[in-house]
Amino acid sequence: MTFFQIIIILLILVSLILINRSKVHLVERTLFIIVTIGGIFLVIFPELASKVAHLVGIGRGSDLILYLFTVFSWFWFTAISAKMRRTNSILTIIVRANAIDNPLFGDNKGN
Amino acid sequence: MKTIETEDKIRPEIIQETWVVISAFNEEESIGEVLSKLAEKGYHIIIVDDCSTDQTSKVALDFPVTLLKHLVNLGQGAAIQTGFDYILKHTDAKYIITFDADGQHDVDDIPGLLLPLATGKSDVALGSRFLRSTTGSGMPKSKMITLQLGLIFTRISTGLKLTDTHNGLRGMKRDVLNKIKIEQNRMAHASEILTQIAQHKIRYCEVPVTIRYTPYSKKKGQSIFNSLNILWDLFIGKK
Repeated sequence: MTFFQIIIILLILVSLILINRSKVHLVERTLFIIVTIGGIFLVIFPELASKVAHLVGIGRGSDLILYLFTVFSWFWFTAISAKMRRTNSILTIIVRANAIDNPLFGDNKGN
Repeated sequence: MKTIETEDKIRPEIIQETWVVISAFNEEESIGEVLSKLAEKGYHIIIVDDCSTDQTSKVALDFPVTLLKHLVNLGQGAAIQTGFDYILKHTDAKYIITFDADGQHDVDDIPGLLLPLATGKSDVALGSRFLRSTTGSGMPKSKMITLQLGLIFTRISTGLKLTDTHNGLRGMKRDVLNKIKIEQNRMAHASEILTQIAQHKIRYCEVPVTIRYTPYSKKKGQSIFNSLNILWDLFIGKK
């Protein structure tokens, strides 16, 4: 195993530990763990990617990894965007309720 | 002259039944003049400070206003909806006017918006800068292009035949607030209101209004690049 492969695996393992400790939803965490373990396998056994690529009709193993990375990144981006929209909606409700329940009155108004 | 005639037709009771909603974000330079003119006419005023970092709230409280403060900056659409919610919950307003804080709008145009509402001709009166020949002068070219694109977009998406789709000066009856719910927190709310007018088949009309293009209002106004953000918000549905 090369030095570069060891570094990559260590980085992947650290991110795996961090995501496992976080309060991410179980489904997302499971998916992340599967993808991470898959990534470690491909780093240790690069020829595996080429074999799988040939099986599914993609020329090179590196192309297969690029396609998987793109799909996974897009899924992650979409999931995070949806979560942000939900959080923003809740934030709007809270901020609005606070503003309405705590009006201030200028000169000659409501006094 | 036309404005004065319209103003004569608006009974003082109607003024008393009218609440003006202003969304403000860092408008300390202009808000004092705007509120002074509105207060002089006797309108009730709700100002929603969208988490300004300047003295907007302090200046506003020198006038007879109800001030609602957002603890987080949410955007103009969210601020207007906050004003609407307050009106429904805490006031007996019959007519609601939305008015900009940057001094672009003319207080003397409000009676023109109230007239079709008070006479029962319409439930929503939308201000249009293109129905009055005196306006348009001083409008930046980029603004003109943005507004024309907005017209095309609105025609396609809602079927409404309007001459001005992104004018913040508009009037509506109280009942309309129960139908229109702004969920676009940022600037796409103008298109969202029109979409909901079309969806609920709310009776609307356009009323000529004047827009003043001052260096300050141009600085605060929408850039053509921001119109792309609006389209993105409308399609992606970001709040």
